[in-house]
Amino acid sequence: MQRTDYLLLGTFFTLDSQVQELDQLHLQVRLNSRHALYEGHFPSRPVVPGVCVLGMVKDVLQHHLSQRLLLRTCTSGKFLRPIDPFTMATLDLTVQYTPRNLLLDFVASIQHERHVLCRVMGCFQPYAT
Amino acid sequence: MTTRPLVGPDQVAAYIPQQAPFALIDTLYHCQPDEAWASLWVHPEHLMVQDGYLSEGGILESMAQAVALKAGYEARQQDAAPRIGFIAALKQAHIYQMVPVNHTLITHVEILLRAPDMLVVRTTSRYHEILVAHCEMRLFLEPEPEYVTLALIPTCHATH
Repeated sequence: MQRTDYLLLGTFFTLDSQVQELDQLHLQVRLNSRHALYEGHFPSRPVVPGVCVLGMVKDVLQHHLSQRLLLRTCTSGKFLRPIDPFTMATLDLTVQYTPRNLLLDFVASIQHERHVLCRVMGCFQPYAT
Repeated sequence: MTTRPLVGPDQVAAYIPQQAPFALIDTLYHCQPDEAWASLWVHPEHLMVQDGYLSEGGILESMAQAVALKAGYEARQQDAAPRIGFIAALKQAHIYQMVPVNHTLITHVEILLRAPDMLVVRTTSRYHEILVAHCEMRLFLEPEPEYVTLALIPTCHATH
């Protein structure tokens, strides 16, 4: 996949490191605190939009599997603390994925210095380009 | 929906804390204590658009901002500033259909539970009567901003 195939990877965040353990990915990601969307979310109070966490998980899996994905379901998403891209620029992202029929189930969480900031689970649908 | 909206694209920035380039709602048609209708015209250049479609995150964020617009409109009726709200939880969000650019995504908001700093809502979005997504959301509202911040919120700010 090309760089332009990603909505957020490469612009909103980048990957510092990635380790795979069976069906689980452990990544260290770096937020781009200068991304344009922070001008609007919110003016003078930058916070990572919760929906962008789902977008980050999607791009990480698209990149890892070299496969286009669509988010079909988020059965549960818990955003426990606002993520400030300036004070929490590097985050630990864990993504577990399991193929189920034609779908790809996922469970992901983001931590910063051992504090869990959010947890999301749901499924993606792979599609051909 | 051809009636004159309660809030249109050229006033919306005064009613919601989210601003361009991350504004994802532009019109409020109907607002009652327990429900509201709001919409977004999907601009082809919006940063949450990819390959000619509003991204999944863009759909979910438009739902959240529909709730913010309802809350901001009600706050303005009482001379209060819109409060910043965060998505605290998503439950059973299902996306059925993507929305192409240059179309209007219409979201219905139903309030399930209202607390001083928390809202639980059910949102359903469609375009051309096609079901796009539905979701249950819990939104955390920050405490009332100081009155002076009202003056800092632009009253006319293009969102496209």
